[in-house]
Amino acid sequence: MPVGPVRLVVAEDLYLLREGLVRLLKARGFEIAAATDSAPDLLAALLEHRPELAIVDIRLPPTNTDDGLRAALAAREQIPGLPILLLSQYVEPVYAQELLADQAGGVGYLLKDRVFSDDQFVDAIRAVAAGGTVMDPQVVTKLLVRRSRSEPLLRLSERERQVLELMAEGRSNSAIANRLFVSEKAVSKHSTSIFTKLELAPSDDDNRRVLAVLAYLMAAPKPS
Amino acid sequence: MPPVLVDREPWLLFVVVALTAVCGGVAVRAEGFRDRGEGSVRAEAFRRAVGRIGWPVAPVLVGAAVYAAVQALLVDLHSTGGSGMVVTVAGLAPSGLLASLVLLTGLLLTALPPLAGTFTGGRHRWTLPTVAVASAELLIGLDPFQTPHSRPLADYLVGGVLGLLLALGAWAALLRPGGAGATRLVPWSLLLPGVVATLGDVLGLDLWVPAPPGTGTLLAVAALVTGVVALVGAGAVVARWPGAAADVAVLALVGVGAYGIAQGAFGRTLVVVGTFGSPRGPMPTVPAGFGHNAAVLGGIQGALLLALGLWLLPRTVLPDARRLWGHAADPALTERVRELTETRAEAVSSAAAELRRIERDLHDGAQGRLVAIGMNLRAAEDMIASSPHEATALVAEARAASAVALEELRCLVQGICPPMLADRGLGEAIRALALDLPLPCGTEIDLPGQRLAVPLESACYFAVAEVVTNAVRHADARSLRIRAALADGMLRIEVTDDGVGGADPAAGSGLAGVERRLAAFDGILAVSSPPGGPTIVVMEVPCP
Repeated sequence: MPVGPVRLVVAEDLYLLREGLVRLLKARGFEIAAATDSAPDLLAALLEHRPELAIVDIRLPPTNTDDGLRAALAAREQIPGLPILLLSQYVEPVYAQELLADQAGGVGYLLKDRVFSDDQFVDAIRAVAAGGTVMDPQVVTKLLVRRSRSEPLLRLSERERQVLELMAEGRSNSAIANRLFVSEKAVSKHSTSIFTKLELAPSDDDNRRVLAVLAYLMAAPKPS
Repeated sequence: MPPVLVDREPWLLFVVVALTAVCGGVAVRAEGFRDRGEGSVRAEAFRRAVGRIGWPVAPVLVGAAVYAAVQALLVDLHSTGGSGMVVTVAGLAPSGLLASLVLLTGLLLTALPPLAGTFTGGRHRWTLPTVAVASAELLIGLDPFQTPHSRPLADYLVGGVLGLLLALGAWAALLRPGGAGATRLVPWSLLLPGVVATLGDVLGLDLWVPAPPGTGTLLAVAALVTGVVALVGAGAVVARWPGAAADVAVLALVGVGAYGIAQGAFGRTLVVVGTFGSPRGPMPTVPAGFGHNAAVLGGIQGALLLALGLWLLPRTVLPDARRLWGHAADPALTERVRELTETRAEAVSSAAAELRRIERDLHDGAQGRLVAIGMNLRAAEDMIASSPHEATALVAEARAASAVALEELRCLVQGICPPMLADRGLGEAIRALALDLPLPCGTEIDLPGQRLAVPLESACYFAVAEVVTNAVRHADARSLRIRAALADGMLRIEVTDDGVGGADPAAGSGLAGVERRLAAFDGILAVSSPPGGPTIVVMEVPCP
């Protein structure tokens, strides 16, 4: 993970929230290249400043629908791999899917609430800026509900399921080990077992592992 | 007594043709709509139209049967043995009375909406073909007034072909009880005896009265074909404008009735006289005394028809005329206003209930939590210098409360307007809904790129959500399928599940609510859910 000031572009249309974000991020040592309040401004700022990460609210003017996501994806087309962290008041797996579509990594999708827990938020920013993938636990929960009746997932043990959830959120083995109070070795054992049961090709690379798990969860479920 | 030549009266025959056509056209259209299912808005409108026309037609047909009965009775009184003549009126020959009654009963059963369903569907399907064949047989074969050897070959040929056609129609209807074509054949097969009885008479080709001299088989068949073609045309016109056809029929009744009375008053009659015996015999004549009695009979018949026409006049022609001149409200408009008032009241009250629910949720949820957060922060403010540890704990508590408040607001928003619906429209929202289900749900969405009206999208989305929730919760389904398509200004959404079936909108399920919600947009809901499944819920909403 890169240390030192990371250059960010922030896009959020609510003034209070935008100012709050900027203050929080500056206090945490990030450098704010631009703070914008609409999708066209965001796109222009991204192309101009080429930041190390864009923090984008999905719903932005002019149409107040998913303009933020569209602008971010448009910028990513021109600057491949541009890290983007989407913030939203709600989680919608479809948006996560669109964000992950290019399989390039460097994307995150978090509920705005996560900003409250600034350690978690700052960790997410750094992970995405480094090309990782971070998904909100709620996205993962929704995906798991969707697949709850599919055969391979039912074969997982309770512990493997917990590991799968944390893997899908984009956590590394050590983070998962810390969270579950087990050794890193145990986590890696679980992870191998999960990949076997889900018939996925094993991967040591953290980011590729996240993408594989998410792609698996997002695939349309088949009747059990 | 000098013989009196009695003239023919074709008018009445045309009235009978028109009435037969009215019944037939309406019956055929009703059959067609029944085949296409109960769910269509057009079918509903048409059933109402059939209701309007059905009841004026009924008394006309009953009147015609009475008319024939009176005729038969009077002729029987006057035609003393050995006169060598038989008197017929308006195609309803005394010998054909029984057949006519059977035919009229059949037409009534087909045309009257309350009865039509009973006798054309299910195990009564055989009724109509039987009626058709019986009436045809009676018209063609049984003729107690006629000596068999006097009938020309043409009658037998035409009768044979006709009987065969009717039998084929009946057979087809019986063999393919589910087939749409077969059910449509039934009313048509009912019409054929009417064609023979009326047009045959107009053209002098009665099957029970020997043809005039010089009539050949070819002409008889040509008359039959002409009759069928004319009836098909009349049926089409009647089906297109049933109200206007009923008006014309009533006006014709009044005209013919008045004409009959006038004729009777001048000593002439509507009575048609035919001979039996040799088909090449002389033109029929009757004794003057009989002519007098026939004139009285004609007057009575005229009065009967006029009374019937005048009784029907204020029920059909006059309201139409008043509407035409703008003195009365169009019943269709009145009905529409009633419908709109009802659905508006429902929409307003459901909107009010929804607002109350939102208010309650906000009050009990987010609002309360914000107050608690404010209080916590206020207390923390006081304590921050004296006991920073406790202040930190209070601030953390406030932060946790704000997270819960956000979660509650999120759920509330999802219930008011799902973000996916707001952002991407109905099609994407339905796809997202399908993806969020805990069981496989296929989607086939064929909606245009541009967004539909927001209230319509919202109503349709929540309707689908309710139906899908029902399927997941109660149907024990393994998989679901949602189809949505917009074609010809109609948004059609179909939700199919392979669950246990037995869903009933009338049984107080959420489906009734869906129906009410869609009604505000003139939409309808149709449910097919036999025990054992599958359940198919179809929603149709006009979408201009």
